[in-house]
Amino acid sequence: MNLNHAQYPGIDPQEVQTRGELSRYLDQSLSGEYVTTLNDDEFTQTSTFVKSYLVEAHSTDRAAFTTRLNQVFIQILPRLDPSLYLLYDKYNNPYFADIASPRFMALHSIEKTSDTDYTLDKLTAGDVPKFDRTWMPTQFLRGIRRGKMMGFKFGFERFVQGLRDPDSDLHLASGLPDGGRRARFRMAVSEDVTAERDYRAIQNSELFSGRKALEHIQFTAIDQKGEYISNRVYTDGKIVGKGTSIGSHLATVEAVLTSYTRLLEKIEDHTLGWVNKGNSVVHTGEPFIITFPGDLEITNLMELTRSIVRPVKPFRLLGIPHELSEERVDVEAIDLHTGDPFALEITKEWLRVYLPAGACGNVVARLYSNLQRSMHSDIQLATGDGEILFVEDGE
Amino acid sequence: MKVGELEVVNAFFGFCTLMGNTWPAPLVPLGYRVVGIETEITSILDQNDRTVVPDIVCASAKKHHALCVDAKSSTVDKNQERAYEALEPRMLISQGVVPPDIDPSRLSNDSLLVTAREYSQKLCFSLDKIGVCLPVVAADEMCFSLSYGQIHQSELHQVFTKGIPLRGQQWPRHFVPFNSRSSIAEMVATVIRALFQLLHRGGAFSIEDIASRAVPHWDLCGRAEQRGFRDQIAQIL
Repeated sequence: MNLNHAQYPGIDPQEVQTRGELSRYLDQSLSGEYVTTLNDDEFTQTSTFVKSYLVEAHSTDRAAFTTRLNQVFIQILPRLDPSLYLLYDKYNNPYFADIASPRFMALHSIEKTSDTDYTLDKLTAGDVPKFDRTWMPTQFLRGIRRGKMMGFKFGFERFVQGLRDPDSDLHLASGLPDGGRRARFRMAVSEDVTAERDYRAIQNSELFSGRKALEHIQFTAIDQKGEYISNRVYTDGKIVGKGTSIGSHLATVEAVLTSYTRLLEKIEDHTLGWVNKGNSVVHTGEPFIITFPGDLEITNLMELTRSIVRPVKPFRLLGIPHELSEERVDVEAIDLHTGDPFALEITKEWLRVYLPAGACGNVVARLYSNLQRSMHSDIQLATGDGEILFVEDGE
Repeated sequence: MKVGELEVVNAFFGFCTLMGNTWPAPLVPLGYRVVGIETEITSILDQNDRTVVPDIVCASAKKHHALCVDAKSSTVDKNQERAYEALEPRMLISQGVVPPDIDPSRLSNDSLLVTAREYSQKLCFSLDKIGVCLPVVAADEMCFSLSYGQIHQSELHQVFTKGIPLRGQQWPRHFVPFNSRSSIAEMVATVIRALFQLLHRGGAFSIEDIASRAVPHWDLCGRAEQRGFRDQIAQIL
């Protein structure tokens, strides 16, 4: 059976020129009006999820932005609204890129998740410069929920090395091929009204110690008329919506985007550099400190560093580790998403990040949230003055 | 661990910068900020101009004070140390060394020599011999402490008299990763990183472009220091 997307009688994406029309186009998916063809004369009405992906895109230079998009999308069509683009991937799936934010792009689609995930991976894997995912740590994800929490998923994968597993004598060090015996842990609660209680109970218990990093969170928000949205928000910026209110879905997208933008701005407020003061200069900023919890035993610091500073997913860093001693390794690194330089100083208790002024703060969020998911979920990120950047509510 | 010029510069950066509990920052509550690296300052000595180049300059609007720090080995240069001694607040103001939020009418200054602890006795003896009375801080991987003379700013004097305890593996190294006297081995990683950045960006570039990316304080360097960097980078390339 060859399943093609049809334009009739659903809304033709080519006709969408404004945000109002985009809203109606996305809404047809929620309301089950979206139509697919099975054969030339056979239609079926389906209800799919609305997918929105938040992508750091740096779209201020429109020409450069669309050139970069062209590496993944075969068509890039401006809309009447200058902050909207209609894009088609290589499977001819339509997407709408909302670039009202100069920094982030919200990419909306109602097509098959397998296709849209694949396309987003291509766009943000690092081959196309300047595009990056969001990297929302556990505490941040918890902070963006509203309405009622209905689900969550812990996802932990030990893709860093040089550590001793706290629960066994197994050395997670050299000799383990990638993807071989990497410790993995997944635990999900879905569509459950007790999700909030379950989450808190697990967080406050000794269970799954160090592996309680969220991969996604699910909540349901209902307005006064009973219209609702059930949103699942993933750590990498994917937001899946189902329900009856497209407005609520778009409100979630906007709220997450705004919070994440503020977070990056806050990170970038602490970058290191020289500021002109009259005829003089003053050095400002401070390094970020990532502190490792006491029950995390680092057995080989150089091995740990090499497994973090790698040009592949998820860290996407290039660097030259320099072992000063068994207790200290330094790295001159490059963020492969932007080409920005930064430096790391790593000990067995903490890691300092020196981010120069002008560099993109997303690298700090990427580093921290991936360490949380691969090293220990209780590691902390703080500014030099001791402000912990991510604190879970209720703590 | 050998305490050399760069270790002193990065340590003082750290003393003026909050870094959680990974490094002491006793100069932060006193309001000190780093306002210069390798800044060329002209002093007047015996009615002749004499340029000094302190490794790091810190200043505090709160204490109306500037501190010029020079890292030393065991030897002294009589005229240079005398030129440091002759530095006056108005010279720092007129040459744009201190930021405008410092009240010029209340500014005072100190020059401080910092040396590795094993050299401190010899350095103090040499200073005594030439009749120069600059304060000397002795440093090793455990502590920075005053070993000779007096710092005129009383709270700063107290800080260094009491000593600043350290842990060697916590030493910051990336405020100023190298200077023009550093070895090629010390510079190579940062230069390669700058080179990669430029290749990532595309288009043509010069040694100057590499230097300005590799050296965080490039714009602050004097001509001699910039020339030194360019030569080192050319050798690496």
